[in-house]
Amino acid sequence: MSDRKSDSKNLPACAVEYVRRLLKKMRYRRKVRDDVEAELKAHFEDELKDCKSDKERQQRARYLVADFGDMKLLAILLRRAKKRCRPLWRTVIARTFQAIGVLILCFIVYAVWFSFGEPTIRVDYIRLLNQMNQPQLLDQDNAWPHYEKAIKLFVPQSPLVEKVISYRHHSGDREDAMRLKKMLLDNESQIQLWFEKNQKYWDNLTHEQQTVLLKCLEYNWVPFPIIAYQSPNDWRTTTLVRMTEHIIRCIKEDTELTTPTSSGTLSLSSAPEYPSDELKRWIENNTIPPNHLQAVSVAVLNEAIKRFKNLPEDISAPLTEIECEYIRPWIEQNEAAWQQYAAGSAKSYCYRPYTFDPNVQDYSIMNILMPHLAPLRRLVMMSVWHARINRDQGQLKQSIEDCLTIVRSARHWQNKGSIIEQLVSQGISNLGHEEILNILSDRKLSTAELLKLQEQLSQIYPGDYPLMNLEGERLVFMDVIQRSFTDGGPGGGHLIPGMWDEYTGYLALDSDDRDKRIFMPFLTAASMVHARRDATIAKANEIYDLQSKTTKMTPYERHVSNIKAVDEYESMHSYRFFMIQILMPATGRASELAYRGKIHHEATLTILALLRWRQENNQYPAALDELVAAGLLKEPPVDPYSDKPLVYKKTNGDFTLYSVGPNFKDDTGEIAIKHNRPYKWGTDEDGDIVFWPVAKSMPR
Amino acid sequence: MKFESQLLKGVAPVVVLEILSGGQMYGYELSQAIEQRSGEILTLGKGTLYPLLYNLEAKKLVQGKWETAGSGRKRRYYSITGSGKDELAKQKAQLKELTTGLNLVFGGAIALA
Repeated sequence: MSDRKSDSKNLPACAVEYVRRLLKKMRYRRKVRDDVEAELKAHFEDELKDCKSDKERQQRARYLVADFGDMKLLAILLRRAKKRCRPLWRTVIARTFQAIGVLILCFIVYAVWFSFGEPTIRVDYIRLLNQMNQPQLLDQDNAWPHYEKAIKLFVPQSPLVEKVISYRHHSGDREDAMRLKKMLLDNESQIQLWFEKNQKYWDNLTHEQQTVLLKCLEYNWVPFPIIAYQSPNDWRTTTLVRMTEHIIRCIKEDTELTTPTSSGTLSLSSAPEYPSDELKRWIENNTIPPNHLQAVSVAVLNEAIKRFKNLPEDISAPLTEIECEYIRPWIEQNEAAWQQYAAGSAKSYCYRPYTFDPNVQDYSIMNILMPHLAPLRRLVMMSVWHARINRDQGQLKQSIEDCLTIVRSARHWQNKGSIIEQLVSQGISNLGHEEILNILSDRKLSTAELLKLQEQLSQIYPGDYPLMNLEGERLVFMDVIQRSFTDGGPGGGHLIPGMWDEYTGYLALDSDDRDKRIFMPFLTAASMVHARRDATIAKANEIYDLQSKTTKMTPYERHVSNIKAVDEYESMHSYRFFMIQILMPATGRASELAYRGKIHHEATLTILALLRWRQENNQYPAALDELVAAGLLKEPPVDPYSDKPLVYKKTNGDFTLYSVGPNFKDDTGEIAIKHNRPYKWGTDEDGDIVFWPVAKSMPR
Repeated sequence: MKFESQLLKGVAPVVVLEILSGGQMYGYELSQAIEQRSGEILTLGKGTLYPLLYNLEAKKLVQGKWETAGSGRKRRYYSITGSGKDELAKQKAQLKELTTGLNLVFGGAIALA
């Protein structure tokens, strides 16, 4: 090609320019244009070869240019002719790319149209939900105003109280506490010697310095300075537990106390009241106490001894003096909240209207259904400790009444509304029953007290124990569909990419966040493959109808019918109904939890009847049927995991009452242990649910 | 002589095929040959010649290839293909028929060599 081009280097400028512009207008592949260029220039060369002078060449060239005719028309003709020359495979590829381009363009237009659909809100499902839940009773019988006041009056616990509480409740914290207790006891004498040597460092601190450090310990974060260039320039923190372990390790190994490994910076521990500012001032003013590490270690060890040394192994054992010292003030602060909570629980029903503020652009299920649940849960936890404090202060009657209050309040959220509310109520109910069993296990009640308690407890659920009700959840789901799909259009409405996340809060994308822009193409693609509105509603109704039936089946019935706890909708085409997959609750598991609540209640009533029998007969009955025959129990409790009566066995002066649990097998009354932790509700692999005797300690 | 464009357009491919049936030529040679052989009655504008050649090439009636001319320069030579010869024969037969018809109409004043 370079040879061909070199032929034309002596052409007159007008000819070169003509060819150049012609080829530019031709707009075709470079290789073809180069070919045409070479051929045309050769033509000019041949035409001009006989010209004698430059002038003649110029004139002749101009004549030839004119003879070539209209440049634009010629360019088009050349282009068309050359296109016809190309091989079939090249034509196919070109047409394919053109078709793909057209398709992409169409798709972009479709996607834009798709993204900007608007939902049509036709049905006020929230009003229907409220109508469903509102009983035809007087307002004065409604518990909600009392609960609402209690929530407002509630004083949250300090981080210190929260920790002290979790040393009993939270398995991780409890394990830490028990480990430290053992370390403290095992090294008691060495620790005492260490105190004798180091106490002076603490005593040398000013009152203000001591106050700041003790405040830090209240938040369970221990501060220590970082030394750079031989002077402290920043603070690091570690947890009270880690610091205690570090100190005891140093004492045990008789090594010099070193700076512990940092768990974080001040910002990590910066609860609003954490004295970060004071600590920073110590650095600025260079007033960090000398031997800070030894001084703070004295305080840490003292605090650890106080918290852990006398902590009982038995989780239901009476509260220690220290626990009472920490928890009682918090309970007293909440007396007003407690009174309202107790008043509410005594009411016959609880109606809290669901509300949706259309001005708030955040319509997620959580915002409508759940704002009261977290405060309610905190109130219940406070009530549990209210009951325990009363129990350990000798006010047994009041403690029992507290437990009944908890169970009564649970009843207010059962068998209606959303599943999450019903599940929370199951949790509350279980807490109440658990506390009652703890009292029965530790304290001796008279026959009259047992009878009264049994009557009061059974009166809370005069009919059958409430199971799961899915109708409220169905309405909520229909509302979300209504707000996430267009109403018409091809196929009966489509899922609007930007809306479904807004109304479900599934991805929790901030509307101003660039995440939303990043996710939008994926959401659009996902919405395109999702089933249309009509199909989604039909599928959801089909599943709810099925689940309404299956939630009334015991776990055992589901087991023998091969209906898994993992619900059947999970096996359907997930890409077409992923919204159902995401939003529809696992009703199989929820239904199982309701049955657990039921059996917990019935087992508690049975245990009360057994204790009454024992007091009347000085021994336990041979079988539960005897309780029924004696009129102490309406009917033997049916284990939902076997559809047979709970397993009852007389033991040495005591008895065992248990359910075979979710593995549907009798494990002879042994609870499941996994990773060194007890699973009191069993696991799918092993373990029974033991109601009596009440578990006393964490298995080691 | 200026012909009606449609008239020339109809016969130009046959003329080119006929000239090429005598041997391969490049563009310039071809345009010169047409003028000479037609006694300068037929002149194919350069703007018509090359699109016409490319179209004939697309129809596989002619074949173009770069070769070195006697002057030592590269030129694109066009030669008639087998299909081109068939097409030429067909077109010539049609033209003969047309001329016969036209002769009858015009009293023998038109003849095709």
